[in-house]
Amino acid sequence: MELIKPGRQYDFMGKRWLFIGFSGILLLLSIFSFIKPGPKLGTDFKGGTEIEVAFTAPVSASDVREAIEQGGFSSPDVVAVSDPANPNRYLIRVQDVSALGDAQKGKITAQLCHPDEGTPLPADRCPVQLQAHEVKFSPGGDKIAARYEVAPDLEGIKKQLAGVEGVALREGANNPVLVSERDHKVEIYLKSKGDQLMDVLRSSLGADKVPAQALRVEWIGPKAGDQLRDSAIKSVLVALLFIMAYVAFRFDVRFAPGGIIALIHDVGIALGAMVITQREITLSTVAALLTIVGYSITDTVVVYDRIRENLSKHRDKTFAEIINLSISEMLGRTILVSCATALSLVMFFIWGTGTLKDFAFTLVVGIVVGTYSSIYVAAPLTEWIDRRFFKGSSYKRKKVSRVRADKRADAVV
Amino acid sequence: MLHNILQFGFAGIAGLCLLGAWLSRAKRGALLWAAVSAGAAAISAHYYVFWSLALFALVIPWALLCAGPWIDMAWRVKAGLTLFIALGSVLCIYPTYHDERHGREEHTGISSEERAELETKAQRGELGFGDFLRANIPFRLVRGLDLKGGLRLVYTVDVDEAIKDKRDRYYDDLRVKLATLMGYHQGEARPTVEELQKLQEKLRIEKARDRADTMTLIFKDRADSEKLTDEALQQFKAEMQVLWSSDLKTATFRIRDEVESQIRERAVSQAKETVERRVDALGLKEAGVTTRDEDIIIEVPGEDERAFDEIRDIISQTARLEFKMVDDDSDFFEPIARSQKREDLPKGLDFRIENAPIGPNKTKPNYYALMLRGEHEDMRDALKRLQDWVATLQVPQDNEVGFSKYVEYDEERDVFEEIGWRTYFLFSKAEVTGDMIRDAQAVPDQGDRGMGGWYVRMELTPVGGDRFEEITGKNIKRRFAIILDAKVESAPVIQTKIPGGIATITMGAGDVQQQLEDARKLELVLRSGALPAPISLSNEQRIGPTLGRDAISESFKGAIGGGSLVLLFMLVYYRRAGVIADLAVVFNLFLQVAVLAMFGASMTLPGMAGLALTMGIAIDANVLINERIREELRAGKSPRAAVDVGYDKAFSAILDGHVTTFITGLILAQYGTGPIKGFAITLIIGIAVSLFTGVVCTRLMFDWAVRHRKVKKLSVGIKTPASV
Repeated sequence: MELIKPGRQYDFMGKRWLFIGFSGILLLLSIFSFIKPGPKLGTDFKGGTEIEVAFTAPVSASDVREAIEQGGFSSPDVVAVSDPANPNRYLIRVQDVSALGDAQKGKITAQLCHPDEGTPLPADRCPVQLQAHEVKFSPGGDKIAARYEVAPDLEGIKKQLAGVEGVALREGANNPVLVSERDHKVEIYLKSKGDQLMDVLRSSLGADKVPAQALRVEWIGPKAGDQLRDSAIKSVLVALLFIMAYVAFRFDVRFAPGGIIALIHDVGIALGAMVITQREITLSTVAALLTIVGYSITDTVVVYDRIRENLSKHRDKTFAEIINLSISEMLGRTILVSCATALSLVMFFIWGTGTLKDFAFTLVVGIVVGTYSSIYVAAPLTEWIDRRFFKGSSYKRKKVSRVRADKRADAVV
Repeated sequence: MLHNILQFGFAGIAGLCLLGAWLSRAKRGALLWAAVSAGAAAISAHYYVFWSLALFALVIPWALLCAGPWIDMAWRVKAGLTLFIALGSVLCIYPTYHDERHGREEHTGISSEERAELETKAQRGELGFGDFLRANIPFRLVRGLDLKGGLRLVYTVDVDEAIKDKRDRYYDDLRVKLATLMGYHQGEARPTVEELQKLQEKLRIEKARDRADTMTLIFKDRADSEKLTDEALQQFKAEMQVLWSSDLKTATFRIRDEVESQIRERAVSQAKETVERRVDALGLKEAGVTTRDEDIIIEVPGEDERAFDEIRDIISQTARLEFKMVDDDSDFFEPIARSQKREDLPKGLDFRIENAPIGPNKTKPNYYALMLRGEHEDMRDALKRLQDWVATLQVPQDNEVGFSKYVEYDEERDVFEEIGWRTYFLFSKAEVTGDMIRDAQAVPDQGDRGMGGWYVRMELTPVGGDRFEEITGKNIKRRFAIILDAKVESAPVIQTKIPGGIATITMGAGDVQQQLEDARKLELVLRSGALPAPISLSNEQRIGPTLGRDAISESFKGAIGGGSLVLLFMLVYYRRAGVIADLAVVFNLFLQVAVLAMFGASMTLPGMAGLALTMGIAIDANVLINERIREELRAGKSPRAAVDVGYDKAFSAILDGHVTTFITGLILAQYGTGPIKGFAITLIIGIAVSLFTGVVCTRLMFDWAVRHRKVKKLSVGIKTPASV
């Protein structure tokens, strides 16, 4: 079986401007998508709300997940917690958080007798046991932590907050609660996304299964902070540099920029596709993007290898003709490998759920674009650099053939 | 029982091979090689050295294959190597396979001693072959958090400690400032301890006991307080509030609220980063680390209690390291030892005298307190009692009492035993601190004492190295204390000035295995940096998988479906050459799983998808080779020539492709953290394995076809005179 008849040649270079233009538009679109609609970051990057619930009757994790998804929360994590006392205990994480507005925050700090510096304390309603010297809002907007000089008056704090609009204390005893005797730290719990979650669970699973209160409701920070993002970007940049150096050393300086631009093109478009389709960006996405980096550079290098070989074989042809010839010769292989790789992922696309589907989607886009970019981005760019900066390649070709002669020495098999 | 079989079995094989080598001249080299390996395996079995036994046992088939009649020696050596690697992989995967299939045996309900005994029995092969392998191969490929769940640990950061630290730093700064203002010290250099002690004539500074953020400065004379002008206070005012009493003799320094919140936040985020580094250093476990207010939440995959213990141990070590000088000039405990009556002292407390060096050729008898551990008392409780007693003493401002484990040699049992705690009287100023450590390494002790112990060698930063050199130069024949997490690890006498910034910590007196483990742990925590504040475990739960069971089974279906489609596709397209490619790809997957198991990695769902993708990349090498062979066949070459030339020409493309990806992996592993690092290592493994299976293994099979079976027509899916 043969995909492409041997000896057949296609004119890739003839229409290169058309395809480069197409690539440019795609890339621009990807960049634009970052501004609007903007990337949808997952819990891994943004943090979210976490509640722990001990259900009073047996429920399965998938039931809980379904109920939450129906309630309008996207991609929740539902994790069983083993607890001999109650087998139906679950941790539920969603990425929605309830945030307080600045105006509300200001009002609350004023009510808790912690006004901005310079404003005098209203002495009439602020005795020392109601005078917070530090007020902190949890990023989830469901908890206020305050510190006091002396043992605070918890009932008084409750009354202080009663008048603030849009702020309601969660029902139940022990709220506000003194969490640290030593430095008089008080925590005040507000009605939040966690309570909404409980309502959703109650309405879809039935009130008899869901307890009146969650064991705890809290905002959690992101798994991947700035440190991870910075280290990812830094390492990819350093890797690019080294790849450029390697390509320049093994092939020729002319080849290096094309490979790198193709790489940026592939990762950019794959990420853009994620953003445009509004898929959640998680740690798995990062892994997928890194995989695309590896795939794209391999694919480009394989095409380069053939160009290098043909350069020394056909000395009478122009660079553009050689690129056409090389890509045509490699076309069968290129299509075959891309298809095989994509095939191995397509099944995940059909059967997979949630994260995995997104992961497979990113990779499939990356592979398609990676294959395409080796032909229409990397190769034409190399030709253009050759024409623009090296004025044709008669001088350089000698060097290339020498590289090829060296190569035979290290072929061990 | 099993060991006897192994021992004599391998000895027998060695004998047979020797006999063969004697009889057959042509195969003498290979058979001798097999005999030596079998002999070594038998010896390893005799001494219960598992890995050496496994290694030599697996070399035997390799050697025997080389003695066979096939093709040529080069082919046989390569085929033997492949066989060796394949068998090794089976060995690495077997424990994982067994645990997945039958579940992990948990020896619950028996004491730790019984468990240890059971384990030793299994390791010695008294419980059958399967147990023998499982007990000796410690690593498993565990399912990740999304597939299986694991342990969720919640640690609370004691942020007050971080604030206290900040205050203590200001305390030191303030004293330096005051020493200059009062005229006890001139110049830019750091004031000496004596100069600082003179301050006591005029003022005292008290750190508040109940508040972490406050200290009080009290002047004896009002006139002195005027020297402390606003200008002089400038460097403190940015972060501290200064309140003067009405008589201007007392000033209260307090860290500002907003600065305090900042310190709290930074302490938590730094602690998270440090914990992340430590978890990373433990291997490829894809653990999740998040923060929640002042808590750090760590989720570790797996279900192995022993692995969890190790993680708990390593995470909670603050790893705060300080070098302080021992104040041997003053004999702090002498008056106490003389005046206190025995009955008034806590139980087990005693005083002893040691000859403390105080400079070249000078020593001085000094008292120290020793708290003996009660029978069945935990070392920690004994320390607590000693600390409680010391807290009742009046320790001077510039000094503090350090505590160290007291070890005695038990002649009857021939072991060193920790019998209690002793005190050291130290200067409270830390001369060198943990942030001046650049690197740490566990090193075996090859000293003349010949105990075969371990120590940790630390390399200091240039600043730390200079400081260390200066201090050791000034204090020859005096003692300095190395303090780790508020415990004196050792207090060696400085023999000479120590340049070069190298310091060491010895590992106490446990047995060698214990020392090695302790040294490894210390190395790890020192490398990952100290926690900015101590953390304590506040909650611990076992958690289930984050993905539902249906999602997991669907994904398995996806992986298997995708994989088989690719294999089928290759088969249809390349016929028998496709079979070769498929075998190589399956072998590739198998090897990768084995290597991942060796790293004790955890397998997550994206990880599995990644493996499926690696299949695609592994196929790339085969496609390149097969296409080249086809080209050569079309050009009219014979099958054998086509294979030779095809491999030769395809190799440069394959190598370049692999090397560039390898570079990416290497750099990601170097700079990446957490999941990125894990991904990078998986990528590197994939690349190395794919180069081996794609180029070496397939070539073996092609050579078998064209050189051994000498096929006239190669089956690669195209019709030419030399192929079908």
